[in-house]
Amino acid sequence: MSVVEQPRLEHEVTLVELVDRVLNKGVVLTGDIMLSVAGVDLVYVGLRVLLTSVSALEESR
Amino acid sequence: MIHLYAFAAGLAGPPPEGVETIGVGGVQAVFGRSTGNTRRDVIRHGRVLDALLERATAVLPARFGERFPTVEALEAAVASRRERLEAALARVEGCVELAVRVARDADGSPRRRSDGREYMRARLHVVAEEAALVSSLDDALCEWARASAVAQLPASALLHDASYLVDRDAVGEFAAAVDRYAAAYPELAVVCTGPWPPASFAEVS
Amino acid sequence: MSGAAAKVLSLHGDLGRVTRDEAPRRISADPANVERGLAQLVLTLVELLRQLMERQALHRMEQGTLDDDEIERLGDTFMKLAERMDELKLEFGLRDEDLNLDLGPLGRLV
Repeated sequence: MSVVEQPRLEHEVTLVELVDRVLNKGVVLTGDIMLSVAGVDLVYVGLRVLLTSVSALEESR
Repeated sequence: MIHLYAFAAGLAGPPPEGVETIGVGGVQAVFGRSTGNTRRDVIRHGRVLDALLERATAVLPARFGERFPTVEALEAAVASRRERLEAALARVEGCVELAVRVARDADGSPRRRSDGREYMRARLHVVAEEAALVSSLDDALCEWARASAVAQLPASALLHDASYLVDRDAVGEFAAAVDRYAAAYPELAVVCTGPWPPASFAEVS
Repeated sequence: MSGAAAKVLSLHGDLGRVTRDEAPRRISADPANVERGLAQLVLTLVELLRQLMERQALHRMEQGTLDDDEIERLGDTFMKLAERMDELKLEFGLRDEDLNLDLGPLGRLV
């Protein structure tokens, strides 16, 4: 399946992973972990979700 | 409030819009002054990190939510950790992060066997097979990586969920290794994303 | 500030087989779905524990610290538990993918 020809799919997949990385990875100096960020769904990570984004957009074509 | 984006070294050129820096020794603390908590702010944080990756030789992403009352407070926090931050920056110098995930068709779920022993034997076989699949990929990729961080997945459809710290010049070889592996195992779903700023390797002792 | 650099370096495999056709799962707080939401949470935890225990048993089996009798009984238990889980999932209209809740930062701490 050649999805890389579809910029919109990539964009969606990228955003999901970007949000996950920004919220869950990186240096923590102050020791506070953000558990709740307004408007951001924290239950939202993993390959399955990335693939879901891909398939959902595929089907919407 | 001051919002911390990342620490950086070898930063060249003007910082992105709305982003300021303050230097302490070999460490540049990259920050902003707006402190919202919306999805938009989270995405902007990520975009700033991407921009830094293009402008600096070493980037240590800060997790979203690192806030300080003033620039002086941030400066003090950096000063008290200067050596550790410099060491952490040196560890990721010239590198980016690549994430690799491998999934298997859900048909691998346990099936009824004639008795408990048969069931356990079958499960053991599947577990061993999966472990071999994963280690062959990890071995191939570690050849092109400075370090790796593998997620422990006790119960997941994912066989492998790992991040690799890769020299910028080695990204092409790394990606080729992933493609070779995927071609060798068409029954697996393999996803490789990046280059990301090395957030999984941003440990400050 | 740069735009979104193409972050997906490669995508391989029959992704359709491991994807869902709905939006990602959350625990529902809508009264009409509360029971299903609770079932989802409870079954997710049970399934997690089942898999953890099974992995541990398999490890001990590999190491040879389980006798034949224990292997038989454990295998029988896990098998029956898995079957019961299938029945419960069916009852609540849940699929395998529904029992894969991730707790975000909490999930990673655990």
